[in-house]
Amino acid sequence: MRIVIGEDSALFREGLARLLEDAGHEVVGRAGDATALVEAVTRERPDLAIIDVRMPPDGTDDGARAAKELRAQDPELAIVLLSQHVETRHSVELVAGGRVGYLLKDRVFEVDDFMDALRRVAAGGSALDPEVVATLLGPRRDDDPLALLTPRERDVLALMAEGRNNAGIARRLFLTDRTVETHIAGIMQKLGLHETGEENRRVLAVLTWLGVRQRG
Amino acid sequence: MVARRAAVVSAVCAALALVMAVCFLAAAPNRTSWLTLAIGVLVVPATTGLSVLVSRRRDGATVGMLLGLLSLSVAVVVAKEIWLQWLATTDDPTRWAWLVAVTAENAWWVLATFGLLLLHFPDGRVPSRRWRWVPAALVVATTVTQVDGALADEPFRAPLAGLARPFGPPPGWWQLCALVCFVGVLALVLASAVSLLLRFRRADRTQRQQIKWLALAGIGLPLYPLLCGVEILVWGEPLWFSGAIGLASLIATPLAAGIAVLRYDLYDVDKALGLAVTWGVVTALLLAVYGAVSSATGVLVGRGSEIGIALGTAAAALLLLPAVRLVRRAVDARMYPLRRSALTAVDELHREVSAGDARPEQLEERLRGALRDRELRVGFRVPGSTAYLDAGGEPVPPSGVLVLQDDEPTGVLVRGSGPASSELLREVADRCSTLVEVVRLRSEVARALRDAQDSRTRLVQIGYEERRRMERDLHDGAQQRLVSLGMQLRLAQRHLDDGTVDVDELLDQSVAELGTAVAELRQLAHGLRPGSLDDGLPAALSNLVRTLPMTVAMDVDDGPLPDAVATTAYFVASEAITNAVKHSEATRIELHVVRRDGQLLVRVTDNGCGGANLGLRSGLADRVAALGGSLRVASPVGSGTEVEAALPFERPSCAS
Repeated sequence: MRIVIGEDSALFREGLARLLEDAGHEVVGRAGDATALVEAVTRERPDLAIIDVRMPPDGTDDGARAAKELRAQDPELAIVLLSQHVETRHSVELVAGGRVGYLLKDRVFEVDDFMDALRRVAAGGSALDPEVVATLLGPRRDDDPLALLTPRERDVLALMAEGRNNAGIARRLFLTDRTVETHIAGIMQKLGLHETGEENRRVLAVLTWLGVRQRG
Repeated sequence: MVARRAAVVSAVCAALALVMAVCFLAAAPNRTSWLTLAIGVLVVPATTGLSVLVSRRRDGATVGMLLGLLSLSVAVVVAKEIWLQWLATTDDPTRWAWLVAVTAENAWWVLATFGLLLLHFPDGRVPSRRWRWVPAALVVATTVTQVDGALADEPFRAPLAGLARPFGPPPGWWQLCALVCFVGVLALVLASAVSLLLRFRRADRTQRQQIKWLALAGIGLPLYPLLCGVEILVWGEPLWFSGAIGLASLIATPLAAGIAVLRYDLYDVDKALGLAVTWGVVTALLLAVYGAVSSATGVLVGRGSEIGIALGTAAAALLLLPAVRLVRRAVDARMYPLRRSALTAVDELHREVSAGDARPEQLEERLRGALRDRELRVGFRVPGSTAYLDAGGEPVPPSGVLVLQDDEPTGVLVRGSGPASSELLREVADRCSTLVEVVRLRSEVARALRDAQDSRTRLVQIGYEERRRMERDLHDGAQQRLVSLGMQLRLAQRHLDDGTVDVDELLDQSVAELGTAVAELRQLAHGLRPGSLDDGLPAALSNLVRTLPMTVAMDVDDGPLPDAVATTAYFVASEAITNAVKHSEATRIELHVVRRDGQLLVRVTDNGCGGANLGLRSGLADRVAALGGSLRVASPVGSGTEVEAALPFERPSCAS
């Protein structure tokens, strides 16, 4: 993949670039602030942009704003946002739009998992940090449909929300693909969502549902 | 000028007449003469003195002169009466028969001057142009009456009843003319009294007060000739009753007129009227009780018994105070509603405040209603200043009646356009002093609470800002480094076997990163609370100044301190010194930490450019205030900065 990195800490940026190159990707742009990032992405038209949420010039959420701007320019651009802390609301909105990942920075340590997330997003899927997912699945109300799920179904739902496909979920939980399919059908029914054959769209529907629940 | 001179001349003549009276009395002392002289002494000197005082005022010349003439006419009548007594004792009174006849009716002049006084009171002018002829007519009619007295053919009054009339009987037409003039005198004096009423209707506040004064004393004046007439009609001669009323009026009227012109505001005339009526009623009531009780006892025990007198006195004494209160309330309600309503309003508010149904700040609104004065202001003295503010915080001018508490002014009542007199306001001020004090204390407490609340809010905000800064420092510093470190270790791990990476160098880099992260964390922790404080304030401060690019002269007390005091002292010193090093261009900084009177004084001085920014203060002052201490920053531009914090380190004892 051709990748552009937007990250103000040179140390982290170079380390990440090295990891990516090591994994066989091509880092075509390295930007230290939001402006340079937008320039690099516009110039290079990469497959994926990895963007730190907090960047100069303002040092607040410049990275997230740059991501929205880039997404508006090119709906096909895959974006993975890296953050230092868990932020639920906006991240879920972004991720539920598809082709976006939201991960804490230290997920980089699990190199294989991290690379898998990058691949999923680039392929049109999504990646949501497990910490954010845990917040999303927290208890809300007494008549919560989530309370109807079996523990197994909850596990499956969490992995779905992280953006994993059926095979990924099956591998993680040591289940067969068929069993996972059954669980997912149960979940979709209990949450009142329409079954759709396409995995990515199913994930996004679940995320949207969780985001709405979070706001309510 | 003429009027003023006339007043003085009258005064001299009146004095002469009194001296003459004394001489005649000395030659032929008797009871009637003594009584007459007593009246003269009661009336003449006081009236004369007032006339001179009043005539010296710019607007009092005419009234002063009339008072002088009044005094003179009384003196002349007194002198004449005593002279008559003396004359009766001489061998040959016939020699002076003509003078006896001429002065026979000169007492009418007293009444006439009274009338003139009423006509010209209080500004020296008649009420309107229509009244111009009245003074002249009064003088002419009185003259005719006196002449008629000289010509009359009835016998003289006792003791000269035997003296023959020196002038012949007047013709018939004259008698008719004299009768008309006599009635004219009475009518004109009555009209003068009425003129005062007319004037009252049109008068402003001051004139009304003045007229009320005269009314207070002059109640008896129109009554005197009427009562006199009634007595003559019924009993054939004037009795003591009309005389007493006339005499009381005679004494009181000039006094009242004088007070009215000189100091109409001296005393609340409404209140005086109310008091006069109250005490009159109470006296009558007590006399009745005394009489009833003592005669009832007399019937039971026997007449003249001491028990009866004792019981009567006791009953009267027991009833005195409640009777005064009851009658006062009733009289006030009828005659002086303003006073009654104002005092009731204050008492009611008092009660409601005690019951928690009202706030003492409503005093102004209540008094405005009760005193019918919508512009009335109630000011409360600001603690520690001489300014007055109303309950809403608006300034109130101090030009009014002061409310005093232990002789210290605590508030002020400022009259707007209402009818309340200063005397009434003084009474209201007395009555509401507690309420005013309560409002003052409440506002003081509210201010202190507000200050404390502000300080707390600032402390919380500063706390949040510090947290935010610390979060940023952690994310951007140590956390970032640790994440990078983790990535490097992963890389090293992946390439451990294939030899494409210099693992040795990578590990060196990683350890260096780790060292930097630890240093950053240490710095951050130090910002939270310097660990060296565990070794005492002197050690922490020594550490602090060791890192500075310049030497700081230190003198630090090393006694044990509560942790909060030591920490705050450290931050005061740290902020002040850092500020001096960064911004003041100072070449010398001194730090003193000493104990004095249970307080720790932290003083940082420098010889820099001064003008230290106040941002220094906000956070520090609140931290210092949170410990009950105080912070002072003196930083005049161009002459150095001095920061001093006083931190109490012992709890103040309760018995201070």
